[in-house]
Amino acid sequence: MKTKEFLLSQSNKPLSYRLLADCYYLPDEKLLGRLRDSKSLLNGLLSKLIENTPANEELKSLTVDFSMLFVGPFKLLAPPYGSIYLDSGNEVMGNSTISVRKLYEQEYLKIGLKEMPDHIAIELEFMHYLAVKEANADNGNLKDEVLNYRKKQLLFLSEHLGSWIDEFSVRVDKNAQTQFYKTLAKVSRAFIHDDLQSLRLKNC
Amino acid sequence: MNISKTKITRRNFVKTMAATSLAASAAGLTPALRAFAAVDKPSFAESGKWKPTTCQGCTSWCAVQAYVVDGRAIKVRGNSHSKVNGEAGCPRSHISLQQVYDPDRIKVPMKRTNPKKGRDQDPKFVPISWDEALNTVADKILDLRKNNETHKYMLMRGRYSYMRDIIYDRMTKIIGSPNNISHSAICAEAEKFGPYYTEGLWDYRQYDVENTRYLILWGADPIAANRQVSYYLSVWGDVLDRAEVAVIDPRLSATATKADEWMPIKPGQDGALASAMAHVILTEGLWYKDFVGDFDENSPIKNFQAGKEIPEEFSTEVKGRNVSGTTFNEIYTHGLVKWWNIELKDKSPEWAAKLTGLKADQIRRVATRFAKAAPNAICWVGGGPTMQVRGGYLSMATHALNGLVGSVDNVGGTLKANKEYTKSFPKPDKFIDSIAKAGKKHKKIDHRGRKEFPALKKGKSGGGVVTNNAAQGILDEDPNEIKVAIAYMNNFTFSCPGSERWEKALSKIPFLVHITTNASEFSWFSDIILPSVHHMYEKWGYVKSHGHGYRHVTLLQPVNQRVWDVKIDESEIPWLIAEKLAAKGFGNLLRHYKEYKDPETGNAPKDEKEFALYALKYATQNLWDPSKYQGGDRINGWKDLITKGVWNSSSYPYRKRWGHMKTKTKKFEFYSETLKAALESHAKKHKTTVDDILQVCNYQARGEKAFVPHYEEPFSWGNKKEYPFQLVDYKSRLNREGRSANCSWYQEFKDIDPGDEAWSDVAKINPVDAKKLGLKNGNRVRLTSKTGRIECNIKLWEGARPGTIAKCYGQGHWAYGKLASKEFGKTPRGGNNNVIIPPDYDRLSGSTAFYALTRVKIEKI
Repeated sequence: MKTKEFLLSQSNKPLSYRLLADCYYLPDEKLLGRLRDSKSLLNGLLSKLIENTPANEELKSLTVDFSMLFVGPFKLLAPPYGSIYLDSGNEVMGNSTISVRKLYEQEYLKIGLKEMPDHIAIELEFMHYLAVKEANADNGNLKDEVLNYRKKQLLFLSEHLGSWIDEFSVRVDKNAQTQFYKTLAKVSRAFIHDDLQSLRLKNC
Repeated sequence: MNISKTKITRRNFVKTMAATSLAASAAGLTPALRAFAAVDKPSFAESGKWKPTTCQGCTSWCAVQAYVVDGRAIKVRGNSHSKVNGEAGCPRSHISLQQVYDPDRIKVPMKRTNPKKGRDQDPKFVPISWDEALNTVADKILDLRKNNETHKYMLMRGRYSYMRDIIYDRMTKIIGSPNNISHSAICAEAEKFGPYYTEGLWDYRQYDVENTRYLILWGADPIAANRQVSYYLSVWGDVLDRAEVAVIDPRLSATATKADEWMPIKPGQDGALASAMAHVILTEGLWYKDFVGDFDENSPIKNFQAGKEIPEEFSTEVKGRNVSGTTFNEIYTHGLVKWWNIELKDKSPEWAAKLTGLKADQIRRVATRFAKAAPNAICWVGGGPTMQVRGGYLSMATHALNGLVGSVDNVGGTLKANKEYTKSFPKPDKFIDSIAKAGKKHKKIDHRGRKEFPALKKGKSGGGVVTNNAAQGILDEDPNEIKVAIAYMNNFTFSCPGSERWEKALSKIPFLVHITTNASEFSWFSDIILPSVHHMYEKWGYVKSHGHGYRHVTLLQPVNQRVWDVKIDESEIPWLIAEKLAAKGFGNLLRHYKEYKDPETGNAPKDEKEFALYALKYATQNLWDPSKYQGGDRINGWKDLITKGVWNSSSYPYRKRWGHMKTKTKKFEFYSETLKAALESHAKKHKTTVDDILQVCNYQARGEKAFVPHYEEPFSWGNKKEYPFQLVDYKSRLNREGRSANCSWYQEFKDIDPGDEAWSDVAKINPVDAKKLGLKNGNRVRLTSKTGRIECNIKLWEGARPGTIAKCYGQGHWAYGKLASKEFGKTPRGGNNNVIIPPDYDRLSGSTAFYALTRVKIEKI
């Protein structure tokens, strides 16, 4: 199944965003287990990621790599924050961050973590949320709702996640020590681009 | 909770997997939310509001306001409620906006996974939960207590607010260690030495610049980098209109660029200049007689003549009667004639000219005009001439000039801090158990009070800290090893001269915790790092500061939504450690902290957040509770205080201390009975003489000279032939105490420091010297001293005195984030001056020497 077809499957798209989002949390055995278990459910781009999912004994190197890429503490090798790429200066909580937070609030969502609103995991989760809403509207034959949620996804990807994923994934690919995160970056980027293209087509 | 340490819980896991299986259910899919929570009503952006807090970017401690929109600070200005700095601000405060939103901040607690420690060992930190971090810390402390080794616990303090005693004093005492080590001796303790041993004031002074007519700035650069920068920036134009300004500094400082006289003195020769100025003032008869007094009307000697000793007593015949008495009748001073005889009589401007490299005419002119402005004349003694080897006497020599012109405590002169009424936290005594008492009896790790480290703070042998020597104590396990250490808001591996010693010392500590906003060269050697709030935007606390004839107590307030999973270094974190200790069977610390009750309700704190707030309300109650009013601003309750953000003292009571100074004689001492008593007490403790102490401590004075302000030759490391240049280290107007190098504004605007370049670290050399060495602008060079070497670029600059290299402190980080180093972990952006400054001391004050001790050679690379 190709990605575009894959994306058309209402259950696959939300799950994929969910799974991608979870991959940007601190890795643990459960995440690795889920990725392996998900192999039968998923295909297309994400299968590459699963093939590169390391065994549990590699968790330590994965954790160190995750920390250096996305947490620090010294130099953040691949800042997972939109504002680093979208706003001027090397800062978090930029104007784009506030704009993202407003979009969440419009959906009656607030962040329960002590993290920036434009962290990649949170933005991916927001896409998961919108995709679920779209799927539910589609199931209920609510055409206006479907269109509405598609527009929201298109707007969000165009102005936020989709506009910084390229630079972000380049930084991850360049600095990651593990194949897992190199692949994750490429997969995230490709998936988002395909979704963006698909959304544009649907809206036209 | 934070992404980087949130484990997938079983519930989350089930929810997530359910997202797919729900696809076919009647209700449709359910979003599997992990970061989000659904809310009934969105909270749309609040409109912007100016909120009061405090900037601790330098030690001015300005009351400021941050403009906060929707939980995010976007602008800063001075707080007009403050009578110290008012609406005035400075460039540093703005840089704080980039600090708080620095993506390289520590976001969650982290632990080291590489057990090896060293500059070449990446610690490989990984996120852990607060719970895991605090449990580990508590276990390590309890291990010490179990083995009666609590003296092997150490607390290192860098910058602080006045909430400091919670973690620095109370926690260390209740655990049972003598080793709470502050940073004070790498700040400017030697600057306080002179005022203490002349007028009994161990503190920084405030300067009444709006009423002065002459200002001599000794190595101070108040419009860039000394206390109350914001205030001085705002009034300096008026000051220049009313007063003459002379700046004594081997480099052209920001203030020197606007001064009437620049005196580019040879490094370390300030004592010669000060003695010569005093000599001029006395021989010209220009001392301020209302303060100092005058020759007795019957004394046959009526003036100070160069080279001539003056008898302290006289006996003569007046109208056939034999009259005797004191030659010079002092009013509010003590020992002027002794000072003249012991030190000043031969110290002519011509003598000083040879040593200082200045012209005798200029010395005479500045001294004369300064004294003619008496008593509205200020000698402003900064860190430059005092934080030197033997700097204590430089501090006395320069500050003593204020005594001669009667400007001490006077209009247009040098003032102390006004009275304020904050109170101490509850006493810990009843919570110090037998284990802790035994631990506390051990000697301190910094060797204060030993024969070679008198550290005579406030007259007491070992009364002050010897911060930089703690590294030696740790390395030598002298008096004992350090097994568990916690440090906060410090970076001794960067900020202490001989910084490499700290790298080795920290590598030796088996368990080191660093509480900080940004991981630094200190964190590199730590086992656990705990993310701290940014003091200006996320913390409850207070500081007190003086200037403009007032003192303010200004609050640090959490005006922002906290960025990441950070906690307050001085209150929340010790509380959380106390909770863990209590859960494991040692409840003394928590029981003590529960005594910090909310003055409004009488309630004891139940968690770390309440504790942080109640502790602050407790300490400041006398300022905001009308029933406890003692003076200064009348504040109508806690809400009123946090709305205004600041309390101000009453105005300054001029001349109130004349005749009531806290010296042995109650007077301003030119012959310091106070220092004599302190030195004799220290000598007695070590069963030796004062002269022996002075020899061991590397001072030149012997005999009576030890008790008067006097000239000592500067002491430097390395000979002139091998190391031809002297390093002139100084501070940037953008340094937020060495913490701003990871901010792009710091790098982009670095050229506002005279002679400096943006995005670079330059060693500035006089073009005359550069020509001799064949150096051109931009050449890459290596600076080598007796103890280290660094690399940077060369800048030809007339503002550097020939024979010196002027280089600003602040660059040279190798581990402080993306922008601070050129290539993180590998190549610093330029070089840290503290790598080449040798670890040495003004031992009488315990201060680390930064100035006039480093000789360097320059090699083109």
